[in-house]
Amino acid sequence: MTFSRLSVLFTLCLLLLVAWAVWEAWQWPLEARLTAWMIGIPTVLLVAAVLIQELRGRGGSSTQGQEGNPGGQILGVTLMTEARQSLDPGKERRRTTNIIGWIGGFALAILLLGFHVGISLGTLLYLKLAGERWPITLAVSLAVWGSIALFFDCTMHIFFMEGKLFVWLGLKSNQFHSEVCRYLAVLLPK
Amino acid sequence: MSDSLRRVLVWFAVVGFVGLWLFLAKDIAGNIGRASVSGLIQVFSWPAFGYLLVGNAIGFVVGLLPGLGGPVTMALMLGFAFQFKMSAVEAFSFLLGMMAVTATTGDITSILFGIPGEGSTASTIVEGHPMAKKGEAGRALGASLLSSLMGAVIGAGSIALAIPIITPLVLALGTPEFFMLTVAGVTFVGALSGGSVLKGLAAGGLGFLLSLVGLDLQTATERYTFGSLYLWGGGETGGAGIGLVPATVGLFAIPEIIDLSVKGGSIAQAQMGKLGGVFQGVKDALQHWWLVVRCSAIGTYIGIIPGMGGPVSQWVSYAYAMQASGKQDQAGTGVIEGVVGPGAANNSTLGGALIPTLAFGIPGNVTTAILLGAFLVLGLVPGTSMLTEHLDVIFSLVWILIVSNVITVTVCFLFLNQLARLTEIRGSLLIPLLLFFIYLGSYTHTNSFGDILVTFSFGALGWLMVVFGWSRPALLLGLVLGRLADNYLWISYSRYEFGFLERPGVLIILVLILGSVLYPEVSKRWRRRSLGKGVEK
Repeated sequence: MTFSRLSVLFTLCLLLLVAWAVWEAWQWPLEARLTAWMIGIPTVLLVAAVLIQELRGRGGSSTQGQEGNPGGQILGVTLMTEARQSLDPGKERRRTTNIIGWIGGFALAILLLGFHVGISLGTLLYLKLAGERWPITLAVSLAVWGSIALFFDCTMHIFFMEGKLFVWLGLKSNQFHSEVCRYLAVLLPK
Repeated sequence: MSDSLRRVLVWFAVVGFVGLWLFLAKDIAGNIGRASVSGLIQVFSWPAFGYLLVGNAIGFVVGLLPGLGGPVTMALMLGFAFQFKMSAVEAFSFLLGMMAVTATTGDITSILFGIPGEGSTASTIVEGHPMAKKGEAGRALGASLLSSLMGAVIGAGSIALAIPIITPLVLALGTPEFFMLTVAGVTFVGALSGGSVLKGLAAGGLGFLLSLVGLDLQTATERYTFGSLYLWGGGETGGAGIGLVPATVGLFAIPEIIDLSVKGGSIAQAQMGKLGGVFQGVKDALQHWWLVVRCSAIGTYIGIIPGMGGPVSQWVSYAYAMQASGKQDQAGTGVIEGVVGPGAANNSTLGGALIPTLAFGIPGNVTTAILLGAFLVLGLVPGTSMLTEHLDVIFSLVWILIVSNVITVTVCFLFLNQLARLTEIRGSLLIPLLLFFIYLGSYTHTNSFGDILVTFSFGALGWLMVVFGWSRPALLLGLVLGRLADNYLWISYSRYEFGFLERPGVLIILVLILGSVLYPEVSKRWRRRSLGKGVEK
């Protein structure tokens, strides 16, 4: 599928989403639907206008697009374009898919293994597969685990959810980390 | 126009402004004085000063590293600011202290490697990098750092100067005008930030709609919650189902990580030698003090205009500095004025951008849009109460900008050689650490996996928006201001019904909104017409 077709598809999805949002508000009382209609209806018209423009081939959409400024950039977007210009599309697609997989993978690891294990294991795997040497890989992964366990868990007392996998297996990884905290609390001077 | 006439007009304008300022300030001078001292004391109190130092340190590194933008880092750190249960001044010491220095250290990477450390430091490359190639890197850095400091001080000072002028203006506004201002804020950012106006406005509207997700506070109606308890929301901006922190982190940080990974390799792909001649650069900046003042004024002015900001002000001030130097024919060869001017402008822009944010809730750029979110989360609503009840917080922001830059420039002068080596960090090492911060930062919002899902979803949306040229700042602003707009609209409607649209203030803002929507198209046509005439000639 070409870039312009994908762009049209994206705009169409947004149009359907916004139109649904306006339609859904129909059943709400006036107080609740006032903003949804007053802002939503013009938004439907705007997205529809964008869609018409894109169907006519005048969407003007590019990677630089909206956030670009004359000669400069916002949030590193220009840099992104410059860097991508020198990459071949196949390599760019492969790297993009790869990193999206990692971003999703980290989220999945947190869900299944919890924060302590999920993030540390994700870091270890990422660094090793990126070709880092073992000492650096282990040091960074351990530092990540250490900062979660010692700082955010033991010191900040953030509640970390239990990994689903541990729950299914009847294990309690959070209990292990609580023990670590308790042990450290005894060791540290009052 | 002759030079003497121009000078007379400039002085006339300056005297007029000072006169107006003194007239307006006479009633609130005592309040301003007290708030200024209180703000300074609060910034230097513990733990606010500690947070400021931590923020400065993070901003320092982020500014140096190309590809890792200041606003992205601010979005990442937003969650931590609330997790640590910081007070308003502590949170802003951390967040603004971080942001205030990124443009200063971003100049270092621009000059040494020819890669902009920040989006707002790209123009420094044009003259700064050729100086580095000629062996005058130290001189360029010295000039850039001192002009950055001077620019930051002028930008911060402009906030203090603006207070007497904007206070009566804000106090004259009612709820209907504030509703229109929220719409104006989103429209300005959507329409004026370049690219397609339609897409910008539509993104703003989408942001408004997304802000409605959650429980309606007037009627307890579930809006777009799909029966999910997580999306009912709570706390923060009053029952907002989509948390600002996970949404902001996803919208800005995830596309940045994708970019960093796609780019690959190390961050600055060049070797650096020993730096010298820094104090010659300091002398240069002092010699060109009047240019620094003028470029800082340009930066502040552009910062005030919503949708513009550092990326624009640096180029305008670069053009101005080159014109003022009379060395246009030597452009790109290492003209010191071309380093001093943008260095000052990109630092003064943040001060300028804070003025409409604090007074009207209209952020000048992405950074202030994120900061506006932080204001609301901390219970500070821009406008009347900000300018009357929380004047000390405003002055603490002024001091944070000044103190942060003083600290950063001092550290830069002391450890310049060592700090520049940070840019040799490999991108592959940064990515897992960034993912760690992204997920942890968003998770701490409500300690629920829903936060991670929101971050992931907004990350996907943000990335698609970048790819297809939609405005992320407009969407974010809609999300930030949506709940406020919802409240303002309901109050206005229940009091005046649709008669609120006939109020003079509302009509004036409506005209401004229409102007901002039509301006890009009109200016494009003018440009096309003048180009056509040029070709005919």
